[in-house]
Amino acid sequence: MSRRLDVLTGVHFVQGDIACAEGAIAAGCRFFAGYPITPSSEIAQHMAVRLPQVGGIYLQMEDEIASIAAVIGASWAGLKAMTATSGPGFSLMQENIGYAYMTETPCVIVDVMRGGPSTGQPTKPGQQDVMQAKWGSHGDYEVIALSPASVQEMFDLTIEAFNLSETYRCPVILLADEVIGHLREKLIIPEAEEIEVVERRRPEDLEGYKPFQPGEDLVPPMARLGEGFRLYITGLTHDEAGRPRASSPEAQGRLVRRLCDKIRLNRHRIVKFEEHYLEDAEIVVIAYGLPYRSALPAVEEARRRGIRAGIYRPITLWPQAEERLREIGERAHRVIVLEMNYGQMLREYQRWIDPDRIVFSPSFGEAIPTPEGVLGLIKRCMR
Amino acid sequence: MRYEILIAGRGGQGVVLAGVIIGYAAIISGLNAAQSQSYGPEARGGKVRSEVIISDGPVGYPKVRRPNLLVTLSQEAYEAYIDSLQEGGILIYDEDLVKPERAGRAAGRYPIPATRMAEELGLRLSANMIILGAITSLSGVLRPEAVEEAIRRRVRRHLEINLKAFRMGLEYGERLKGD
Repeated sequence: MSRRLDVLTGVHFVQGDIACAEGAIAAGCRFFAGYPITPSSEIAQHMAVRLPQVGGIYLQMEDEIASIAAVIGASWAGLKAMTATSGPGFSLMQENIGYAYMTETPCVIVDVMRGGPSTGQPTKPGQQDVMQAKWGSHGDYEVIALSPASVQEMFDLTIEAFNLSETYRCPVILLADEVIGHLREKLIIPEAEEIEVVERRRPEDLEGYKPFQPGEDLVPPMARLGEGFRLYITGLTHDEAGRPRASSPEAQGRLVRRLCDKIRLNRHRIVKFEEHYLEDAEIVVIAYGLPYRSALPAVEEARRRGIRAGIYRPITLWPQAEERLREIGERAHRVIVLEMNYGQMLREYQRWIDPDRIVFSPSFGEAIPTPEGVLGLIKRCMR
Repeated sequence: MRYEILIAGRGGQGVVLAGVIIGYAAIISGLNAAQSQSYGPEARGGKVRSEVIISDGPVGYPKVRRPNLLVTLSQEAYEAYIDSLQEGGILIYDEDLVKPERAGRAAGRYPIPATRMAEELGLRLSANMIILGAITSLSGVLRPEAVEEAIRRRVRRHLEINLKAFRMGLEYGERLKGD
């Protein structure tokens, strides 16, 4: 067994929020700034205990605006940095999240979703921020957002979030929900050597370095503040050297295109999903996060009863496998979409799948979908 | 195998911790478990329930729907959950706090004066450990040694009294089974 303090190799029984914090530390996160909010508070609490043990820094901030600002600063100072919040705090962070996209600052933002709008239901689950994750800040940008469905995935996908963030030099959002955040399950932390950890690409020499000059993958290498590189970091539209270009349409076009294209053109590398029983499925259930845990047993029960049902689960909510979803939509008679909101990702699926074939089943608060409920939906679609 | 346990009461009774220890004991035993809790924004006195699913395979749906074993530690909790009990399920309740007017689908009803016993032990807060002992005995899904190990790893304060409370609950459960 590993004796390392940063990777607690072994079998644990912990909450999803704790697994997320441990995943962050295992991925190399050494800075957390946050403002506790239910149902994400355990992440901050655990980071406050754990980061000092591994030489990291925990900062309790005065609010969420300051939290994300500190995270962006820490990332430019060279640390892998994270914050965690829930809907109301995520709303407050939006302007600076846009700044992080604009300045191509790697960081991880965890949103353990509860019910909204506004204060909503602090202790109850929701999936009401999935569109905010995509469109929350102003301007054009493409995001990466991941959706865990178990405690193990709170660990695994937090590591993935850091790796994607370092690879594409952008914020990555982990969209969990209250149930997964507070659920306790078995967590297996592997040996440190078995965990793939990606570090941001750094410039090779001082001479001629431009902080926003991309490589072939459209991602610029990133220098650390204080290393001797000349860094000009601004939320204004800028050129490759970072100098403001607030009036040039060419500069605006070049930058916005690249900010979007570095995600769009690498989509096939980023997108993650899982699917089961789709080969001959007439009825396909699409579910992510917690509702996936309700849908899978329902689909398995439907199969036992001779119903040709299948299931598709996006793991990256942004971006998604549009081509695959179009294929599924063409072959299935009915597509059932489950969400713990009143129809958000649904609108994306309606673009890729004939809306007349889609049956939408929303759920609210604690009344999460049950396997029996989903099976009932599947049976009704058979008629 | 999928075994569902629901423990319900009020904030401050140790309902959540009891569920956590059961889940942890299952993991120690090489099984899978999912534990969750539900409560309002209050810290004390509000309705609380702790749910545990023990499974020898992956736990799919992580919430309890029809518990095989139900523990109620308040009248309110009893009224709210008695009808969710599975046919032939086990009902455990604190006889000083709950007057069970109807048995629901319970095959076995087990009254236990857990809070009073804990007070006699000198630590009212150990009532949840007495309940834990009764659950271990009456459900038969976990070995007492595994639960004891889980208590040792999860309970820091008053460990000896808590372990004593657990063993008292275990013995009480065995006696109830015998009756």
